[in-house]
Amino acid sequence: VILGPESKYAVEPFFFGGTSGTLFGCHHRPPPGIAREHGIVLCAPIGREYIQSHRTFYQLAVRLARAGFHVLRFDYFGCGDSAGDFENGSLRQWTLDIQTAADALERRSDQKHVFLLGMRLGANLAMMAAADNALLNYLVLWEPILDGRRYVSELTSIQKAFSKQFKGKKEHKDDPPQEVLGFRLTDRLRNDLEAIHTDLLCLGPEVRLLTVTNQPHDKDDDALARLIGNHPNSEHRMIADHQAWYEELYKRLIPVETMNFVVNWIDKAHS
Amino acid sequence: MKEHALIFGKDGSLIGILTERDAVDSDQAAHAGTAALLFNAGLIHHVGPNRMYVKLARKLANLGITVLRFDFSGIGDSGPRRDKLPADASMLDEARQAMDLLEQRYGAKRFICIGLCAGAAAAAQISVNDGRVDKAILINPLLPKTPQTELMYYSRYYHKTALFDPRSWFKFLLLKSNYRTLWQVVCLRIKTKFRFNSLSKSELPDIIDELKWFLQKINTRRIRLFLAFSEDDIGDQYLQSVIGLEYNALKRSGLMTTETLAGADHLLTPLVSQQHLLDLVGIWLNDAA
Repeated sequence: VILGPESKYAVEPFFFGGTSGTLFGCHHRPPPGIAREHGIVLCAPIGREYIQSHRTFYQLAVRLARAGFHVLRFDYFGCGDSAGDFENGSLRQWTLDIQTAADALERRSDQKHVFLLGMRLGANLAMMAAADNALLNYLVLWEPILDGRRYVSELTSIQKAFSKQFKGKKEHKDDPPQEVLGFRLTDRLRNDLEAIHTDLLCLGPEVRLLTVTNQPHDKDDDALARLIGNHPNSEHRMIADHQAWYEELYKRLIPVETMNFVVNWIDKAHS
Repeated sequence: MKEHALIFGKDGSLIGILTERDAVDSDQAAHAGTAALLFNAGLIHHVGPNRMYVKLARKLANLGITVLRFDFSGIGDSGPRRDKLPADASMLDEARQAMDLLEQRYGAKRFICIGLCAGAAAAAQISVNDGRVDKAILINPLLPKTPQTELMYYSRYYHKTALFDPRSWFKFLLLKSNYRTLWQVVCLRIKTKFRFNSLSKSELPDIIDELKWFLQKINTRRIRLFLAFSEDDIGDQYLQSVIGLEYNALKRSGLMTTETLAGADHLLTPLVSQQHLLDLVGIWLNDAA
């Protein structure tokens, strides 16, 4: 719905997917006359990480659109502005949502090819979507989850530290938390997350892959090596920068260096 | 329930989500013509902290209230403002544009302003500046940063955390604690325990004047006010100690309701506290209607 005078703002919010439109997205259009052949779908993290990284995704979308790409930021089912409750989401559902988003961007922009750029769990979901669809063959993975068990263990520690601050709200030492920082962690989601392992993510040699990390990966080095080492078409860059999914928003810290690197990499990949 | 994306504003750069009921039942007629606006909690976009604004909007829509969650310019999905209007004036202007839109396109006659933290401060300011607002829901309103509020945060920390932490006691016994602050906190707790307005002379006069002016406007305009404070928040304690007499008078008048959310932090992280707030808001709105 567009009201008021004709918008000069290059961001169009809309609902898509399903019969009544269950997913929310924002389409960032490039300035007239410089549109590239590829569109880019941004795949966000989930839970608190989604909220923390929203500003970075907005800024990244603006930069990519200025570079000539049609960009779609969107919310998975049960996340952000999309329909549903978080606890009803699943990795399978969210992976399908990426495909739905890619289709929506193709229709809106007449682009035949779509790039996926995912952060944290969004990177893993983008990998899963690319494994399902050979047409999604450009991937940028920003700090992917390399070991699901460790990820869940980190989430558990964060939640237990949070619960400890509130008297009477302490969870039993051995009980897995039922929520993590404001979002329900169902048994199904926990099992899905724990099963994430880079060995299981088979990407074809036709996929062009960039992995960017913002923190050194001591324990995960093996996992990272397994992800990119055997892939003939991959590149990895460690950039010491703000962790967008973690920083408190009021600090206004945006990982500018990483964003510039990613935009330049995508720009070169298409020139 | 239906949700639509809206683009509005003078240059079409304000973005929001409208939530409304498919059809209003007879038991929801009490809220006919009422629309609610949810304002950004600081820099958090319109889904709100922990997606709380989405839950609130859907809850209110189920009661028959049309809800708009939008981002002020430069926040979330909305674009930056092109003019040089100061932040406060810009906020009022954009809220007015949102209300005009809901009035003209969706037939809203009365408005409820809602916000958490900085969003509550915005909701408070907008409520008393626009005659169409007849209710406000303020959740953990953002407090001014003054030496008094800083001491209250220390007091909360000592009382809830340090007192039960052996490391803090160890530090205390090794003479490594900040004894000056500790002493100030003890004095503050004694002072505020027995008397309202006990800090009104030590707080900045501008702040006291502004808070009193706000309560006076609420009273004159007969705006119904719902104030919710998390257990972890100092808001209620602060208001009691700086404008307690006026604050409690407004409570007694029936115009203002206050609630404490047990076990909740400032951003309502625990799911149980989110549900608690949703339940309280639902009850209050039905009573207030």
